Parts: sequence; structure tokens; C-alpha cells
Amino acid sequence: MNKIVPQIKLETYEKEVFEIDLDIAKKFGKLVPVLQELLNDDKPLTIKTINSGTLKKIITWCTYHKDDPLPPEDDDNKMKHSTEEVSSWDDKFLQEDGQAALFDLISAAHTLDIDGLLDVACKVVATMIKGKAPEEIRKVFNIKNDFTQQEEDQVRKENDWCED
Amino acid sequence: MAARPNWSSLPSVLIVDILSYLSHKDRLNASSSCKRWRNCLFHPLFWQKINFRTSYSDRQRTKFLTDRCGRFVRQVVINFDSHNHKEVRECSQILDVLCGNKNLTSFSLLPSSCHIEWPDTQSTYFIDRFLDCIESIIKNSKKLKHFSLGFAEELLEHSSIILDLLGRNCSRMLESLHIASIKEDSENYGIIDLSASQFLTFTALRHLSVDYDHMSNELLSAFSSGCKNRLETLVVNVHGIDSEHEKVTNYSWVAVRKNCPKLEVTVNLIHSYDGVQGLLDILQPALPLTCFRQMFCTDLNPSAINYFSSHYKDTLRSIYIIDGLNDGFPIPYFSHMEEDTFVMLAWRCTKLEEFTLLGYEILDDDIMAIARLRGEQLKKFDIPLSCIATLDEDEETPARYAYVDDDFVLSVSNSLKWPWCPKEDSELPLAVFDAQADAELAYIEILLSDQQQK
Repeated sequence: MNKIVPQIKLETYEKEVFEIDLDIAKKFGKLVPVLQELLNDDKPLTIKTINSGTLKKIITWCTYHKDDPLPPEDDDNKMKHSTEEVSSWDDKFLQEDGQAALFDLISAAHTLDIDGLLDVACKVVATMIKGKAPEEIRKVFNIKNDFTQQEEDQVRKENDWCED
Repeated sequence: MAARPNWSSLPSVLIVDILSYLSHKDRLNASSSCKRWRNCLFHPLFWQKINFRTSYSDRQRTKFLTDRCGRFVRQVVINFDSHNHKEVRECSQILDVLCGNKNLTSFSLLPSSCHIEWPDTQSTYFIDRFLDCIESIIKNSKKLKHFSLGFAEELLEHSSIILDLLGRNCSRMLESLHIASIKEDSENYGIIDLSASQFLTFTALRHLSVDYDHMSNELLSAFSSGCKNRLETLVVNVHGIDSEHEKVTNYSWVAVRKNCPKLEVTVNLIHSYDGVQGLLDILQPALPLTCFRQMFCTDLNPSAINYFSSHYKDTLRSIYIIDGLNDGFPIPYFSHMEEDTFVMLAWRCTKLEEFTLLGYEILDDDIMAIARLRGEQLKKFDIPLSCIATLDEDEETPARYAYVDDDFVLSVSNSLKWPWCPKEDSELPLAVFDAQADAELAYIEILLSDQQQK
């Protein structure tokens, strides 16, 4: 007997509509109650900032991690623990499509409030930063140096003061 | 959705998230790449604790960190040279900014001396300003867990008001409170009024330091059965002893220990001749003495040390005694017993880890005995070379000092299983040799270590 799995509909930037099982969409943190309300609606929820490629990846990630335990409540007072390693599946998954895809994925994970994905994605970005000088970081991440020479000197001075 | 995304356009929460996975060094580098990332460096998350120093070389740093983080940093330590007007001024500027901080969980003001040289000798402007700031800080910080004022005598004179404020604002949060003092003149000072009931309001208190002047049976009752307080460390600084001081009974200590099984007590005698003479009145068998120090008390009480051997054999871990030499010679003490007092102590007190005796004569044989008795468990064993006495075989001729050889040093080291060496004169505080030198410099750091946040 076929059980009917409740599904939600999301429309992407390209106006493509995706149907997502609710037990996968439960990863979407604060969005879950909104999505549940739209459950019986025929009209999809449009999220213009997410493209189809990214949403596909997100569905893949959420499906793979469907049975993970929920992450503990965020505590603003605590530093994140960087001890827990990113699994090799996640690492490969996040990096295989290049940096632009990773950027879109992080932005989308933020929009959809997917804590677990954000965590691993930020960790992967942090790993890419580790051990690099500011100039190298700019190059890798396409960041424009918007400091004046004077400001840059100030930043250098401040960095000395911040060392403790 | 550009082919090359611009990472500086990421929402700042995400930049902060990424930065939070980096080491401090990497975080500084990442936040040096552009203005947006730079701003994220000053997220409160990354500035939980700042140690402000006001020395000349740190001035710019301190100004910068005060302006940037003073309003949200959670744990603050301010070290300043309290004999330097500029540094006192600067400290007051930091305090001004901290007044607006609602996040503080830990506040430690650590002047370099118990005496603060106020920049205005004619008026009380600066001391009032300090006190006003401290008052605002307490009122604003509902989450204060740790509070200490170093040993600033003039600020501590207002302990009663400060205690009331703390009681009103963070009675259920405060875990660590340090209002013990050092007196400029330990023989002549006014005792401030503190009532034991002022301590009762602090239901989370675990670490307390107070002057012996305020120790009473009633104070201990705040930590006895029926109270929520589970005191873990109690530091008692002894200066003069008032002739009318109520004796703290063994019964009170028994009651405290029942309620606070983890309690460890440190007793510091500071320029306290009274304390040495009256030590046996202060001590009680049930007092869980863990650490004993005496700083420049000009006398030693061997009977009290013998008392340690009989009553604190399961608790005493550290003993630190420092005094000035007598005309260049170590002060002899008379043991009353066949075995040396300190050898007895090392024999009976099996938990002993630290032993420092500066300024008193000690026989080479006794050093050897202590090293053998405690072995590698003794992690610190500081004895000045010039205080080590050697007797000739006939024991008739007077002792010779500083006469130990390499073989002796080696066999002590072998017993301790670490490379021991007697202290050279150059390693000792000046006040050991020079009666005119500022003795406070010799011990303030050691006493301040009692106030460190645990």
C-alpha cells in the first residue's frame, strides 16, 4: 500500500518548481512552520534568491543527513567547536562544484535556515582560509581590498594590539 | 549568481560563523582582507576576555581595545601601576567605558600595590570616580560571577557598600568574591564594619577571600548546613588581631565542612606578628588548611607548625614562608623537639607539594630529609643557598652557611627526581636582604594569584 508522503513545493529563481518530502524539509529550521501551513496549498513558495542547481544540492544534502540528530540549540555566548571534523562525504559534496557553488549553497542554507549544512559549509570555508595571508585570502575569495593605504597600516597596527 | 562570487558580500552572521572556526591568528588575517570582514572581527563572540594593561608600551593597545570592545567584553582584568599617576588616570578611563557594559561576567581590578597614588592629592575626585564607576559596573552587570579589587586598601574601605550592591544586583550569580586586603600599616588600621548577614545573600558563592578581621562564627554559618552555598576556596588574610576578636570555634568549621566537603582554606599572615603569636587561636582541627603563607612577620611559630603536622596531614599542600635576614644571617628558630619542625611536617603531611622557606636557617640534613620524605611529589622546594646551615661533625663549632657542594645538590635532586638547586641571592626578592626595600613587591603577585578566576 502506498503511503502518501506530504510534500511541499518550492519555486526557484528559474521558476522551476520542486516537490520536497516534508520529512526532508524538516531540516529547514525556522521555515518549517511556514512550510507546514502551505502544505495543502497548490501554489509553490517562491524563493527567488535560490537557483535550481543549488536547491537540487540542498535536497541531496538534506536527504543524506535526514536521520542526523538535531543540532543543539545555538548558544551565542559560546565559541563554535572546531574540533569536530567535516565528514569526507560532506567535504567532497561541498567542494566538488567549485567555489561559486559553495557560495550559493551557503547563502541558500542561510535563507532556508539549515543549521547543519551551514555549520559544515562554514567549516569548509574556514579550512580554505587557514594559514593564508590577507592578500592570498583576497585572491582565493575574490575579495576587493577596500582599505586605503592609511587604513591598511592601521589594520596592521590593530592586529598587533589584538595579539595577546 | 556570478561565476566568481564576492565573498565580502556574505551576510555578516555568516562571516562571523566562518571566523568562529578560525584560530585567533587566522581570524586576524581573514579580517584584514576587507572592511566588511574587518567589522565582523569585533563581534562580542571573539572578545570574551580582555586583559587591559596600562603600562606605557601598552597604552595604544589599551585605548584601542577599550574603545572597540569595552562596552561588550565579558571578562575584564585591569593591571595597573598604582604608584603611577598616568596609569591611575588611564585605569579610570577604562572604568568609565566599562560603566556602560551590560555583559560583564568577570571584573578584576589589579593594582600593583595596596596603595593607590591618586593623581589629585588635594581632592577626592579620583577615588570618588573609581568608586562611582565600580558602583555603575555592579548595577549594570546582572551576570557578574567574579569580582575582585586586588588589594586596593582605599577601595576596600567601601566593602560594605560594594557588598550590598553586589547582593542587590547579582546575589544569585556571584561565584567568586575577593575583598581580602593588604594593609599599608598592619599594626594600625581601622576595621571596617561588615556583617555576616551581608554574605548570606550570595547563594552561588564558591570562592571567597576576606580579612581575618571579618571571620566569625556567624560568617561561617552562611556556609554551613542548610545553606545553598558550596564554598570551595576560602582565603583568609591576617593582619593585626583585635583583642576582642571572637574565636572561630571548631564546631563552626565542622558545620562548614559538612556542607562544603570540597572546601580548601588558605591562611595568609601578612606583616602579622600578632598572627604568628596567635596562630593557634586562629587554627582549629576541622579547618581544612590547604595552603599556609606568612609574609614578613619577623617570627616563626614552631608550635603552630607542629600543629599543622598533627591536624592537617590530609589537607596541607603548600607552605610559603618569607622573612628578611637578620643582619645578613638567616633567622634561627627553635624546634622544641628532637626532629626539626619542618621535617616532621614533611613526614606527616603526605599531600605536601610546595615548600618555600626564605630567610630562616635550615640544616642541610633537614633539607635532605624533606626531599627524601616527599620525593617527586614535592614540586616546588625553594630554599636560599645562604640560609642552608652545615654543622661540623663534632657539632661544637658554629654552623657554616652556604656551604653545600654539588654532591649534596645531586642527592637532593635524586630524591626529588627533578633537578633541584638552592636559590641564589640574585633570585630572591630584595626585601629578604634589605629591610628598607618594599616588601610588598615580594609577595603581592603570590597573593593576587588567590584572586584569579577559577
